[in-house]
Amino acid sequence: MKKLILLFLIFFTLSSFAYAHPPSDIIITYDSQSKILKAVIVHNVSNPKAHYISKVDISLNGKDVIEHKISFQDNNLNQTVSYLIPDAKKGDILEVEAYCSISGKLTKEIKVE
Amino acid sequence: MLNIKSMKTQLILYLACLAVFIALKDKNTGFIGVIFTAVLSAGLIESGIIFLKKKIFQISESSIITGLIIGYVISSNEAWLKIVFASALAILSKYLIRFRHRHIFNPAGFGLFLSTIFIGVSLEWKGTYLWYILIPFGFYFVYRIKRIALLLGYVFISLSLFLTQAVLNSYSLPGIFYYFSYFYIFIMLIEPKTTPVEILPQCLFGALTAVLAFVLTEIRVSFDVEIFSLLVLNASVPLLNLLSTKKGGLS
Repeated sequence: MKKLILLFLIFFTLSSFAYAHPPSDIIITYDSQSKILKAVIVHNVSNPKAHYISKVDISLNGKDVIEHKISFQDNNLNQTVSYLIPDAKKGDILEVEAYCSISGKLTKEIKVE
Repeated sequence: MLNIKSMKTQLILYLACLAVFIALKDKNTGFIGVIFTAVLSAGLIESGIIFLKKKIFQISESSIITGLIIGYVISSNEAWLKIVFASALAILSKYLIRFRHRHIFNPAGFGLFLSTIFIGVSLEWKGTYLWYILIPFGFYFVYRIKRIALLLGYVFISLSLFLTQAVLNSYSLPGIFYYFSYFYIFIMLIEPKTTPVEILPQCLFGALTAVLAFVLTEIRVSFDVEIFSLLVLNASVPLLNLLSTKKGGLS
Protein backbone atom coordinates (compact mmCIF):
# COMPACT_ATOMS: atom_id res chain seq x y z
CA MET A 1 0.00 0.00 0.00
CA LYS A 2 2.86 2.39 0.83
CA LYS A 3 4.36 1.79 -2.62
CA LEU A 4 1.00 2.46 -4.21
CA ILE A 5 0.58 5.74 -2.34
CA LEU A 6 4.14 6.77 -3.27
CA LEU A 7 3.42 5.96 -6.92
CA PHE A 8 0.28 8.00 -6.62
CA LEU A 9 2.12 11.02 -5.24
CA ILE A 10 4.70 10.82 -8.03
CA PHE A 11 1.97 10.68 -10.66
CA PHE A 12 0.27 13.69 -9.15
CA THR A 13 3.41 15.75 -8.96
CA LEU A 14 4.24 14.96 -12.56
CA SER A 15 0.78 15.34 -13.95
CA SER A 16 -0.11 18.63 -12.34
CA PHE A 17 -0.07 20.42 -15.66
CA ALA A 18 -3.11 18.63 -16.98
CA TYR A 19 -6.22 20.77 -16.64
CA ALA A 20 -6.44 24.34 -15.49
CA HIS A 21 -9.95 25.66 -15.55
CA PRO A 22 -10.66 28.90 -13.78
CA PRO A 23 -7.77 31.35 -14.01
CA SER A 24 -5.68 30.92 -10.87
CA ASP A 25 -4.93 34.63 -10.49
CA ILE A 26 -5.36 38.02 -12.14
CA ILE A 27 -2.69 40.65 -11.59
CA ILE A 28 -4.23 44.06 -12.27
CA THR A 29 -2.48 47.40 -12.60
CA TYR A 30 -3.92 50.76 -13.57
CA ASP A 31 -1.77 53.67 -14.71
CA SER A 32 -3.55 56.90 -13.79
CA GLN A 33 -1.36 58.90 -16.17
CA SER A 34 -1.97 56.85 -19.31
CA LYS A 35 -5.42 55.63 -18.09
CA ILE A 36 -4.42 52.12 -19.14
CA LEU A 37 -5.60 49.09 -17.22
CA LYS A 38 -3.40 46.04 -17.62
CA ALA A 39 -4.39 42.57 -16.44
CA VAL A 40 -2.22 39.48 -16.50
CA ILE A 41 -4.58 36.51 -16.25
CA VAL A 42 -2.75 33.47 -14.98
CA HIS A 43 -4.13 30.37 -16.69
CA ASN A 44 -1.79 27.47 -17.11
CA VAL A 45 -2.83 25.18 -19.96
CA SER A 46 -1.31 22.49 -22.10
CA ASN A 47 -2.68 23.79 -25.41
CA PRO A 48 -3.48 27.53 -25.55
CA LYS A 49 -5.23 27.16 -28.92
CA ALA A 50 -7.78 24.72 -27.53
CA HIS A 51 -7.98 25.83 -23.90
CA TYR A 52 -7.77 29.55 -23.28
CA ILE A 53 -9.24 32.67 -21.71
CA SER A 54 -12.31 33.18 -23.87
CA LYS A 55 -13.72 36.40 -22.43
CA VAL A 56 -12.67 39.30 -20.26
CA ASP A 57 -15.21 41.67 -18.75
CA ILE A 58 -14.20 45.00 -17.24
CA SER A 59 -16.46 46.94 -14.94
CA LEU A 60 -16.05 50.33 -13.34
CA ASN A 61 -17.79 50.78 -9.99
CA GLY A 62 -20.00 47.79 -10.77
CA LYS A 63 -21.00 48.97 -14.24
CA ASP A 64 -19.83 46.93 -17.25
CA VAL A 65 -17.64 49.02 -19.53
CA ILE A 66 -15.80 46.48 -21.71
CA GLU A 67 -16.56 42.97 -22.96
CA HIS A 68 -13.66 41.40 -24.81
CA LYS A 69 -13.98 38.03 -26.53
CA ILE A 70 -10.78 36.12 -27.27
CA SER A 71 -10.24 33.03 -29.44
CA PHE A 72 -6.90 31.74 -28.15
CA GLN A 73 -4.40 32.45 -25.45
CA ASP A 74 -1.07 34.33 -25.71
CA ASN A 75 0.91 31.41 -24.32
CA ASN A 76 0.45 28.36 -22.11
CA LEU A 77 0.94 30.32 -18.88
CA ASN A 78 -1.15 33.48 -19.07
CA GLN A 79 -3.17 35.97 -21.08
CA THR A 80 -2.30 39.65 -20.94
CA VAL A 81 -4.87 42.30 -21.81
CA SER A 82 -4.75 46.11 -21.73
CA TYR A 83 -7.59 48.60 -22.02
CA LEU A 84 -7.95 52.34 -22.05
CA ILE A 85 -10.32 53.36 -19.25
CA PRO A 86 -10.49 57.14 -19.60
CA ASP A 87 -13.18 57.80 -17.01
CA ALA A 88 -11.62 55.99 -14.02
CA LYS A 89 -10.62 58.32 -11.20
CA LYS A 90 -9.07 58.02 -7.77
CA GLY A 91 -11.13 55.84 -5.43
CA ASP A 92 -13.00 54.06 -8.23
CA ILE A 93 -13.19 50.27 -8.26
CA LEU A 94 -12.07 48.48 -11.42
CA GLU A 95 -13.08 44.85 -11.71
CA VAL A 96 -11.67 42.28 -14.12
CA GLU A 97 -13.60 39.07 -14.75
CA ALA A 98 -11.87 36.40 -16.85
CA TYR A 99 -13.59 33.31 -18.24
CA CYS A 100 -11.96 30.01 -19.16
CA SER A 101 -13.08 28.58 -22.52
CA ILE A 102 -13.84 25.23 -20.89
CA SER A 103 -15.23 26.07 -17.49
CA GLY A 104 -14.74 28.48 -14.66
CA LYS A 105 -14.01 32.14 -14.15
CA LEU A 106 -12.21 34.41 -11.75
CA THR A 107 -12.94 37.97 -10.67
CA LYS A 108 -10.45 40.40 -9.13
CA GLU A 109 -10.66 44.10 -8.47
CA ILE A 110 -8.45 47.05 -7.64
CA LYS A 111 -9.07 50.50 -6.23
CA VAL A 112 -7.72 53.28 -8.41
CA GLU A 113 -4.95 55.15 -6.56
CA MET B 1 -26.71 13.07 16.31
CA LEU B 2 -23.46 13.34 14.35
CA ASN B 3 -21.78 10.07 13.50
CA ILE B 4 -18.24 11.26 12.99
CA LYS B 5 -17.15 7.81 11.76
CA SER B 6 -19.47 8.10 8.77
CA MET B 7 -17.65 9.07 5.57
CA LYS B 8 -20.56 11.27 4.54
CA THR B 9 -20.48 13.17 7.83
CA GLN B 10 -16.73 13.62 7.53
CA LEU B 11 -17.09 14.88 3.97
CA ILE B 12 -19.80 17.35 5.00
CA LEU B 13 -17.66 18.72 7.85
CA TYR B 14 -14.62 18.92 5.58
CA LEU B 15 -16.44 20.75 2.79
CA ALA B 16 -18.17 23.10 5.26
CA CYS B 17 -14.89 24.02 6.99
CA LEU B 18 -13.14 24.47 3.64
CA ALA B 19 -15.97 26.77 2.49
CA VAL B 20 -15.52 28.96 5.57
CA PHE B 21 -11.76 29.04 4.96
CA ILE B 22 -12.21 30.08 1.31
CA ALA B 23 -14.79 32.72 2.20
CA LEU B 24 -12.44 34.24 4.80
CA LYS B 25 -9.38 33.96 2.56
CA ASP B 26 -11.10 35.58 -0.43
CA LYS B 27 -13.27 37.93 1.71
CA ASN B 28 -16.22 36.53 -0.22
CA THR B 29 -19.33 36.26 1.93
CA GLY B 30 -21.39 35.72 -1.22
CA PHE B 31 -19.81 32.28 -1.51
CA ILE B 32 -21.28 31.24 1.85
CA GLY B 33 -24.66 32.51 0.64
CA VAL B 34 -24.42 30.34 -2.46
CA ILE B 35 -23.40 27.30 -0.38
CA PHE B 36 -26.30 27.94 2.00
CA THR B 37 -28.80 28.30 -0.87
CA ALA B 38 -27.61 25.15 -2.62
CA VAL B 39 -27.53 23.05 0.56
CA LEU B 40 -30.92 24.28 1.72
CA SER B 41 -32.60 23.71 -1.64
CA ALA B 42 -31.03 20.28 -2.20
CA GLY B 43 -31.85 19.24 1.36
CA LEU B 44 -35.46 20.43 1.22
CA ILE B 45 -36.15 18.91 -2.18
CA GLU B 46 -34.78 15.52 -1.18
CA SER B 47 -36.60 15.67 2.17
CA GLY B 48 -39.81 16.40 0.28
CA ILE B 49 -39.29 13.41 -2.00
CA ILE B 50 -38.51 11.13 0.94
CA PHE B 51 -41.63 12.40 2.72
CA LEU B 52 -43.78 11.66 -0.32
CA LYS B 53 -42.33 8.16 -0.61
CA LYS B 54 -42.06 7.10 3.04
CA LYS B 55 -44.18 9.60 4.99
CA ILE B 56 -41.25 10.42 7.26
CA PHE B 57 -39.21 13.61 7.57
CA GLN B 58 -35.55 12.98 6.96
CA ILE B 59 -32.63 15.11 5.87
CA SER B 60 -30.25 12.96 3.85
CA GLU B 61 -26.51 13.50 4.15
CA SER B 62 -26.18 12.87 0.41
CA SER B 63 -28.36 15.87 -0.38
CA ILE B 64 -26.20 18.08 1.86
CA ILE B 65 -23.08 16.88 0.04
CA THR B 66 -24.73 17.51 -3.33
CA GLY B 67 -25.65 21.03 -2.23
CA LEU B 68 -22.14 21.70 -0.97
CA ILE B 69 -20.57 20.56 -4.25
CA ILE B 70 -22.97 22.70 -6.29
CA GLY B 71 -22.17 25.66 -4.03
CA TYR B 72 -18.44 25.27 -4.67
CA VAL B 73 -18.69 24.86 -8.42
CA ILE B 74 -21.41 27.35 -9.38
CA SER B 75 -20.51 31.01 -9.73
CA SER B 76 -20.93 33.13 -6.59
CA ASN B 77 -22.87 35.80 -8.42
CA GLU B 78 -25.50 33.53 -9.94
CA ALA B 79 -29.15 34.30 -9.13
CA TRP B 80 -30.53 32.19 -6.29
CA LEU B 81 -33.20 30.72 -8.56
CA LYS B 82 -30.51 29.28 -10.84
CA ILE B 83 -28.82 27.71 -7.83
CA VAL B 84 -32.14 26.17 -6.76
CA PHE B 85 -32.66 24.94 -10.35
CA ALA B 86 -29.26 23.22 -10.39
CA SER B 87 -29.91 21.66 -6.98
CA ALA B 88 -33.38 20.49 -8.03
CA LEU B 89 -32.03 18.84 -11.20
CA ALA B 90 -29.33 17.16 -9.16
CA ILE B 91 -31.73 15.66 -6.64
CA LEU B 92 -34.40 14.75 -9.20
CA SER B 93 -31.81 12.88 -11.27
CA LYS B 94 -31.30 10.53 -8.31
CA TYR B 95 -34.94 9.48 -8.37
CA LEU B 96 -35.82 9.71 -12.05
CA ILE B 97 -32.77 8.29 -13.81
CA ARG B 98 -32.05 4.91 -12.30
CA PHE B 99 -30.72 1.51 -13.33
CA ARG B 100 -31.19 -1.57 -11.17
CA HIS B 101 -32.42 0.50 -8.22
CA ARG B 102 -29.40 2.83 -8.23
CA HIS B 103 -29.04 6.31 -9.62
CA ILE B 104 -26.70 6.56 -12.58
CA PHE B 105 -25.30 10.08 -12.64
CA ASN B 106 -23.24 12.03 -10.17
CA PRO B 107 -26.10 14.22 -8.89
CA ALA B 108 -24.14 17.47 -8.53
CA GLY B 109 -22.45 16.96 -11.89
CA PHE B 110 -25.79 16.29 -13.56
CA GLY B 111 -27.46 19.37 -12.06
CA LEU B 112 -24.53 21.62 -12.84
CA PHE B 113 -24.05 20.42 -16.40
CA LEU B 114 -27.68 20.71 -17.42
CA SER B 115 -27.90 24.12 -15.75
CA THR B 116 -25.00 25.38 -17.83
CA ILE B 117 -26.66 24.08 -20.99
CA PHE B 118 -30.27 25.10 -20.36
CA ILE B 119 -30.10 28.29 -18.32
CA GLY B 120 -26.55 29.47 -18.95
CA VAL B 121 -25.27 29.04 -15.41
CA SER B 122 -21.59 29.92 -15.15
CA LEU B 123 -19.18 27.86 -13.09
CA GLU B 124 -16.44 29.11 -10.85
CA TRP B 125 -14.84 26.03 -9.19
CA LYS B 126 -14.05 27.74 -5.91
CA GLY B 127 -10.96 26.43 -4.20
CA THR B 128 -9.99 24.01 -6.93
CA TYR B 129 -6.35 25.11 -6.74
CA LEU B 130 -6.03 24.64 -2.98
CA TRP B 131 -3.89 21.58 -3.57
CA TYR B 132 -2.31 21.72 -0.10
CA ILE B 133 -5.75 21.02 1.40
CA LEU B 134 -7.48 19.02 -1.32
CA ILE B 135 -4.66 16.52 -1.95
CA PRO B 136 -4.09 15.28 1.62
CA PHE B 137 -7.78 15.13 2.48
CA GLY B 138 -8.50 13.76 -0.97
CA PHE B 139 -6.08 10.89 -0.44
CA TYR B 140 -7.81 10.09 2.81
CA PHE B 141 -11.24 9.95 1.17
CA VAL B 142 -9.99 8.04 -1.88
CA TYR B 143 -8.36 5.47 0.38
CA ARG B 144 -11.40 5.12 2.62
CA ILE B 145 -13.90 4.71 -0.23
CA LYS B 146 -11.54 2.43 -2.16
CA ARG B 147 -11.26 4.42 -5.37
CA ILE B 148 -7.46 4.39 -5.73
CA ALA B 149 -7.58 2.44 -9.00
CA LEU B 150 -9.98 4.98 -10.49
CA LEU B 151 -7.71 7.84 -9.55
CA LEU B 152 -4.61 6.08 -10.84
CA GLY B 153 -6.34 5.39 -14.16
CA TYR B 154 -7.30 9.04 -14.53
CA VAL B 155 -3.93 10.43 -13.49
CA PHE B 156 -1.86 8.00 -15.54
CA ILE B 157 -3.76 8.67 -18.76
CA SER B 158 -3.89 12.44 -18.16
CA LEU B 159 -0.16 12.34 -17.54
CA SER B 160 0.53 10.42 -20.74
CA LEU B 161 -1.64 12.63 -22.93
CA PHE B 162 -0.59 15.99 -21.59
CA LEU B 163 3.07 15.13 -21.17
CA THR B 164 3.18 14.16 -24.84
CA GLN B 165 1.42 17.38 -25.78
CA ALA B 166 3.69 19.52 -23.65
CA VAL B 167 6.82 17.92 -25.08
CA LEU B 168 5.56 18.35 -28.65
CA ASN B 169 4.86 22.04 -27.97
CA SER B 170 8.17 22.57 -26.10
CA TYR B 171 6.42 23.98 -23.04
CA SER B 172 8.34 24.29 -19.83
CA LEU B 173 6.74 22.60 -16.88
CA PRO B 174 7.95 24.50 -13.75
CA GLY B 175 5.21 26.19 -11.79
CA ILE B 176 2.44 24.05 -13.15
CA PHE B 177 1.85 22.22 -9.87
CA TYR B 178 -0.83 24.68 -8.76
CA TYR B 179 -3.08 24.41 -11.78
CA PHE B 180 -4.71 21.03 -11.55
CA SER B 181 -8.49 20.88 -11.02
CA TYR B 182 -8.19 19.18 -7.63
CA PHE B 183 -11.75 19.76 -6.51
CA TYR B 184 -13.05 17.89 -9.55
CA ILE B 185 -10.66 15.00 -9.02
CA PHE B 186 -10.89 14.54 -5.28
CA ILE B 187 -14.55 15.36 -4.73
CA MET B 188 -16.53 14.72 -7.92
CA LEU B 189 -14.66 12.11 -9.95
CA ILE B 190 -14.38 9.61 -7.10
CA GLU B 191 -18.01 9.71 -5.93
CA PRO B 192 -18.58 6.10 -4.85
CA LYS B 193 -22.23 5.49 -5.73
CA THR B 194 -21.86 6.32 -9.42
CA THR B 195 -18.47 4.73 -10.10
CA PRO B 196 -17.42 1.08 -10.41
CA VAL B 197 -16.50 -0.90 -7.33
CA GLU B 198 -13.90 -3.28 -8.70
CA ILE B 199 -10.36 -2.44 -9.71
CA LEU B 200 -10.36 -3.02 -13.49
CA PRO B 201 -13.63 -1.17 -14.15
CA GLN B 202 -12.39 1.63 -11.89
CA CYS B 203 -9.15 1.94 -13.86
CA LEU B 204 -11.07 2.06 -17.12
CA PHE B 205 -13.50 4.60 -15.71
CA GLY B 206 -10.67 6.95 -14.72
CA ALA B 207 -8.71 6.40 -17.93
CA LEU B 208 -11.69 6.90 -20.24
CA THR B 209 -12.78 10.02 -18.37
CA ALA B 210 -9.32 11.47 -18.95
CA VAL B 211 -9.30 10.50 -22.65
CA LEU B 212 -12.76 11.92 -23.30
CA ALA B 213 -11.99 15.19 -21.51
CA PHE B 214 -8.76 15.51 -23.50
CA VAL B 215 -10.40 14.85 -26.87
CA LEU B 216 -13.28 17.24 -26.16
CA THR B 217 -10.83 19.95 -25.12
CA GLU B 218 -8.84 19.52 -28.31
CA ILE B 219 -11.91 19.84 -30.51
CA ARG B 220 -12.85 23.03 -28.62
CA VAL B 221 -16.32 22.20 -27.42
CA SER B 222 -18.02 24.97 -25.50
CA PHE B 223 -19.13 23.13 -22.40
CA ASP B 224 -17.49 21.78 -19.28
CA VAL B 225 -15.57 18.81 -20.66
CA GLU B 226 -14.72 17.29 -17.31
CA ILE B 227 -18.26 17.22 -15.94
CA PHE B 228 -19.56 15.97 -19.29
CA SER B 229 -16.93 13.22 -19.41
CA LEU B 230 -17.80 12.22 -15.88
CA LEU B 231 -21.49 11.93 -16.77
CA VAL B 232 -20.76 9.88 -19.90
CA LEU B 233 -18.65 7.48 -17.86
CA ASN B 234 -21.30 7.37 -15.11
CA ALA B 235 -23.71 6.15 -17.77
CA SER B 236 -21.26 3.47 -18.84
CA VAL B 237 -20.79 2.00 -15.35
CA PRO B 238 -23.23 -0.90 -15.97
CA LEU B 239 -21.12 -1.85 -19.00
CA LEU B 240 -17.83 -1.42 -17.17
CA ASN B 241 -19.14 -3.59 -14.36
CA LEU B 242 -19.42 -6.44 -16.86
CA LEU B 243 -15.64 -6.60 -16.61
CA SER B 244 -15.98 -7.33 -12.93
CA THR B 245 -14.17 -10.42 -11.70
CA LYS B 246 -17.01 -11.17 -9.33
CA LYS B 247 -20.15 -13.13 -10.07
CA GLY B 248 -21.99 -11.72 -13.06
CA GLY B 249 -18.93 -10.29 -14.76
CA LEU B 250 -17.26 -11.46 -17.96
CA SER B 251 -13.85 -12.36 -16.65
